[in-house]
Amino acid sequence: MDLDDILTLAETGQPSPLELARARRVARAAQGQYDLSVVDGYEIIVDADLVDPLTAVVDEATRVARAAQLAKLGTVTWTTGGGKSGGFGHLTWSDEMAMIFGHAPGTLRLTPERLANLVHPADVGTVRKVVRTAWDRRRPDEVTFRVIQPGGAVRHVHCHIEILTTDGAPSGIIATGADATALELARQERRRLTTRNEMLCADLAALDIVTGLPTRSYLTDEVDRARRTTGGALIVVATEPTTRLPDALTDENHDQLTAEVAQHLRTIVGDEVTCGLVGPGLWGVLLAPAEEHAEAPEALTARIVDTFRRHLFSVQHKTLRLNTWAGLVLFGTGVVATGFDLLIDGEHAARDARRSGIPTTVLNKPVAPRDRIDKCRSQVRQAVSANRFALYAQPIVDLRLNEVTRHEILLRVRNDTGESVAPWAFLDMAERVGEILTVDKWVIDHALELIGRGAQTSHYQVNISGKSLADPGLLTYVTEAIRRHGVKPECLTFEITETTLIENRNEALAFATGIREIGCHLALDDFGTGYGALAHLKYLPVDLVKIDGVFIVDLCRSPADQAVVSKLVELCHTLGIRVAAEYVQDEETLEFLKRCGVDFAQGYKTGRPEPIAVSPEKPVRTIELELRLPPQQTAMG
Amino acid sequence: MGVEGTAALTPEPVDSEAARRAEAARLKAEHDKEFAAFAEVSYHTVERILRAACWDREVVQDALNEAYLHGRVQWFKIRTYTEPIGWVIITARNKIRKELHRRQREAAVAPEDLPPAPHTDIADAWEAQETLRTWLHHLPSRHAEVFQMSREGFSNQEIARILGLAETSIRSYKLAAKKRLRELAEEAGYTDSESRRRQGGSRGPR
Repeated sequence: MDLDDILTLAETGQPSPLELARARRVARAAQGQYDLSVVDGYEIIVDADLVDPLTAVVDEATRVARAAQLAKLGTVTWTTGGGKSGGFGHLTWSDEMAMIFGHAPGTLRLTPERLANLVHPADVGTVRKVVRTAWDRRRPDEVTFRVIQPGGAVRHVHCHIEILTTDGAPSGIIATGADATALELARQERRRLTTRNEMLCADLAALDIVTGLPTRSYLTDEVDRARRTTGGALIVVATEPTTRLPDALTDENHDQLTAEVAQHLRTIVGDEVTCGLVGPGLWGVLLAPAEEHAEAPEALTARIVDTFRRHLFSVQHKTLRLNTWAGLVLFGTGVVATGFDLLIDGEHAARDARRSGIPTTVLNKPVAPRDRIDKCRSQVRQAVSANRFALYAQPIVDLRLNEVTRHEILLRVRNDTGESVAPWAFLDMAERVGEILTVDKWVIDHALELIGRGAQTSHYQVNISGKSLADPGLLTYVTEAIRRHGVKPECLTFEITETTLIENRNEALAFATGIREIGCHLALDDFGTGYGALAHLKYLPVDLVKIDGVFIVDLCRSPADQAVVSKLVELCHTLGIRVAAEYVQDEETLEFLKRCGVDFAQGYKTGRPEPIAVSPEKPVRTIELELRLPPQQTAMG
Repeated sequence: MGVEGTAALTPEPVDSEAARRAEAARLKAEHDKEFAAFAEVSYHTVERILRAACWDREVVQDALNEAYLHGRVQWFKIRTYTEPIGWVIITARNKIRKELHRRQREAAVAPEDLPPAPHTDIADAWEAQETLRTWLHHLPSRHAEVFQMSREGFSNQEIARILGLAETSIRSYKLAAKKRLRELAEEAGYTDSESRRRQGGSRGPR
């Protein structure tokens, strides 16, 4: 069946008796009303034209214009004038069209130039072209354009363009149109909404990429909501391999193990319970207030620990047991402690359990604020004084040269078993209790020491928390360390992380200006998330912006990310700032970044972080440091 | 006033008045009958044409009720027109336009927003008409109206005059409408012609 068949079939249909009855009803109703008006002596006003449309003898231009007028449409008529004027002929518009253009009827004598001047400059070309083509091809067309009214107001006008004929020969053009502003705006709004829907992304930051569980910040917010509304219980589970993991394990193996633990935890607690990854080997489970028949939080905690301890995990075909402890914090509604405070309490409780050699520690209420802060601070200070950190270097590729020209110095925290783990949970804690400066100073001192001992062939990027910038002594400390370790300042870039936490703008500006005066560069890390305002780009003397990984991980599949990245590059380059991208995981992304003009790329694709030294206390190691620096490599690996 | 004036001029007012009334009544009865027949014949054609461009059935029916009422009021004039149906179409179209303008519907739903017609098996004339109508709503209203009128048997000149268009445009609009309808039919999966298939079948057994 095709269109012709359907048309033929449709036309075989005769009105059904029901439909015929409907037609008769309409006729009867009209007749009835008419009769009533005759009897009652009132007149039914007929506002339609009373001319026979098929016999009226008028020229086509007048006829079309008259029909348009009845339909409240405006017309512009352009006739050749029989060729006698030689020029453009005769151009007129109807009163309605004059008003659409914002002019009182009859006040303007139209010429093509004058008409063109009333059309929005951006649309004149299109209108001319459409009219010209319609005339040349003797074919009707339509066009939407903007007019600028005398007061400066812009209106959208839609016109049908038709060719007039007199005695069979083309004699002019008539445009029938109306103000289509409302229609056009509605169309644009629909288009905008479509784009918005396509571009809107799920909140990537809420879920951890490896485990699919909520992240630390998400869980913190959820705990905070619980303490403001229902109260509940928070379990923090700490896991740790019973035996030392073989050194040969790759990052993928670690991720695989983490994902397996996450899945196991999910199975134990069920899908309704919020649980998340709150630190390396640290898991948080948030429980709503217990219903009568539900399992008590204490029992669930014991069950998690017990199940974890019994389970045989496997990594790289080797079985592995996890030693497990847990801390349980019970909290009521409206406790003063924030979500973060409760999380810290849980972590401490789990740590206490480990230290005392018991499976779980239960806190019936949150710890007193003073005790909590003291405990956190001493934990940070202890870590600093015991050098429980390690520095790693991750290569950064200069995309113009396609080779590694820089390294970012990354901090790793050594956990209770001496393993180096990612520092984000530790840094989050240190930042919140105001001890981050101590950590930053340790990093600066040790990083510069390592750099100073090396050949300084690369460029090094060192992180400093936005919060530390409030310290007036920081600039002196850095300057002094640079001098002491003999580091070339031009080989250093300081990356400001957590720009949200810049507390004192004046101090931050003083540090930024000072650090650049001695020759170092300044970068903004994780740009585009948090509250890292564009204003920073305006007043901070930034040399480099590092786009946050959430815009990069899914870059090739997300038009929204592509828009953000490409425009950000444009913006930064306009401001004289270079751009780096982190979390680059595949070749495709790398290619896209090159096309956008991104200056630097960093990520597993271009090189993983590698340890640069075990301990600065043993100078012998510095030779090893040289060897351990990842080899110079191209982006192609 | 006019009636009184006329009456004053006639010498025997009572008799001629009665005769005149009888004549008027006869004429009215004749017009009534004529109008009823016209309405019954024309109603569905007009409705199909209007519904080709306006998707809101209620609006069309309201406009038709009003147009036929006005048609009856002015029937003594309209009955003399070449095609009274043309006048009804014009009047009803203007009513629809006014109503839509009042409701601001045009801005709310443009044709491109209508959901595509689902592919169902077209079994009878009514289903064919409904399917065509949904496709016509995807066309610019000028194209749809012109197309439907031409299918109803109106000539190009008649269409141009009734719809207030230039005569040269009609051919283009018809072609454009047919082209777009064919595309829509193909999108919906109606591609193979039955008549062609019959011809193919007549080639004989393999």
